[in-house]
Amino acid sequence: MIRLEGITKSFQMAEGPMTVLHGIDMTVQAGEMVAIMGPSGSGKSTLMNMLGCLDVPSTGRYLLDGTDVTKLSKKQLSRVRGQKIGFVFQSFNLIPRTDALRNVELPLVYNGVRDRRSKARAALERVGLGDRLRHVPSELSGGQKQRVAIARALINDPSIILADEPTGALDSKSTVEIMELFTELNAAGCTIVIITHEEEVAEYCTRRIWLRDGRVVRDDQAHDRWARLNAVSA
Amino acid sequence: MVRALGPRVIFRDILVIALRGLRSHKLRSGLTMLGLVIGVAAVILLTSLGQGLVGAVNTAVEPVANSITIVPKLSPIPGGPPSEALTDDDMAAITKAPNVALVVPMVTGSTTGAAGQVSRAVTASTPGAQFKSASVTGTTTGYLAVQRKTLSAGTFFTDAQDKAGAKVAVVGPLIAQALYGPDPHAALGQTLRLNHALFKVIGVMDSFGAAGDNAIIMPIKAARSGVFGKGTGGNQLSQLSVKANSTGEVKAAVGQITGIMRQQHRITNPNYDDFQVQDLGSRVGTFTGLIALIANFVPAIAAISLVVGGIGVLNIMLVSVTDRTREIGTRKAVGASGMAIMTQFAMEAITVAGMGGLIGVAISVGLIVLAKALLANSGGVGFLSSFDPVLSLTPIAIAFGVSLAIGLVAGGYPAWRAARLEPIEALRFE
Repeated sequence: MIRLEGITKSFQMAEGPMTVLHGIDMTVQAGEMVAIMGPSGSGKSTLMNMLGCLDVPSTGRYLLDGTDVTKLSKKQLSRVRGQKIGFVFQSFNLIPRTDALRNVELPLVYNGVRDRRSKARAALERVGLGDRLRHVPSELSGGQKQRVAIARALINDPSIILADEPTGALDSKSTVEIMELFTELNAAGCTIVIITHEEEVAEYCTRRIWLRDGRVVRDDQAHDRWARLNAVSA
Repeated sequence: MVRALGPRVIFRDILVIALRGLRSHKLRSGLTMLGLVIGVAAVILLTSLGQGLVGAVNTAVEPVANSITIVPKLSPIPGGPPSEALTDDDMAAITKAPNVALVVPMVTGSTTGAAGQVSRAVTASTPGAQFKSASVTGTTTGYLAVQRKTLSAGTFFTDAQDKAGAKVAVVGPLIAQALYGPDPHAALGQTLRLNHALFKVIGVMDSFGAAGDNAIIMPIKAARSGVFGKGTGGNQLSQLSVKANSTGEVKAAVGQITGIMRQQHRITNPNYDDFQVQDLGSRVGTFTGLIALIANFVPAIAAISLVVGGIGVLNIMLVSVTDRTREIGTRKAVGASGMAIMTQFAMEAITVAGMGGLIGVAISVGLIVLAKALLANSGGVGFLSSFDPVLSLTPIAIAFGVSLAIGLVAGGYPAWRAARLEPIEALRFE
């Protein structure tokens, strides 16, 4: 469960401080699948970095499973990332020259978990890559690479999966496959936050949050949208 | 809550990651290693050859260099205390000096003057012939060793003959020829008259140069009682010849002897020294010291190549960190701590340096063993016969240790830089 309270973020630029986030309040419940949308410069990447504990806010509180992570040290933050957060990046960010199994194992290595091989195999099978365990990233298609990345995000059973433009580098067929995979995982209980500017990606989500100039300007709960979608189809 | 974990839990896994990183860049790792391989091998090889050279030079120079002579002298300062003679007591004291291996006394019946010693000429005669200016020396069995003389016929006197003061004599070639004819064997067993005493000739020495060829050598007691008479106290010596334990210890031995002599003769002011300690070693030492300097200097130059190799490691590790900035960002995003990243890169550098060092050690030791075998089999001619490259642990340990240390330093800085990278910066890196 994620709870943001009055999160702001300012960067020190040459021409003076620049505030990117102006007091974000937001709660993401377990089991939600949230799309964070907005034009470039709206602060969605910065917000993503906050949610992923890759960066700390200037002010405000960020409660992740009840822990205020803004008070943690760098070392503790790296542990939080390894144990509570699964990342999926637009450019996949797999370790080159390293096969799918080892890429998926990586978070377990840094968490000191044993019996990694079987867990990694299970995660890869779950994303439909049971036959590509020993392939290195250069031998995989874009969609397959993103599946490996999703398996890696899943493996620690994180509280939340954060996906930053996960389909930005994929063709439309792969996009559909990846979003269907996310939907399946969400149906199985995973909490997912996807940053995107694509409407068709956001369509898969149960909730949509719009950012503009560092503020939440609209927050569509699923039932509203479903009601509207139903009305349209009726 | 978040689980904490001990650093040891994941250390082995990080080592595996580091090794895999090296294996996936084989050419780069190999070339980086090459610099250290050459550096380590050069240091070990050149040290070994240098020590072999010093050894060969010492072997050649040793018999000449390791020779100390103690003679009495008059104090050069007018009005100083009277000089004391060199005695058996002095010899006994010098024998106990730690760096002294052998002390051989000589009694020549010489008189001591300010300009040095003047030997007393003795007339040697047989019933049919005479040799007027023989120089008689009473000594001990170590004489041949310290004087580096050899016999052409017969034997030298024994310890028993020495102790008993047996009336036996070893004569120089001039005397043997003058008294008994050109064949040295003809002299053996013959009777020799010196002043009024009779001696049996038991050996003839090889020619050693004019000054030594008119010598007659005999046990010290025989010389004192039979040729020179008891003299003052009967315990005086004309000269002591001393060998140090090794050429390298000559300087120390000279120091010890000087100290002992001053103590024996109760001299507090060196100006009043009534003895002189001379050694050829200090003259030869200049030469051997120069060789040793070269032998030490050459590995120092080779050490530069080790440093260059280290800079190679540093360079590659820095490139490697920049090259893999995104990878570092990804690892941090999935939970790697700064320490884990730093360990990974440090392990890579240390492994490269350690393996380079090991290969360098293996190559140089192999070459040294090969060279030793070749030199041993060739039999060796001239100078090569005593040249033997030295295989010792110290340069190997130092060269390998230095290469590891270089790996630690050259890997440590890039590793620290990698660890410090902010994950968002690293992920954004193109």
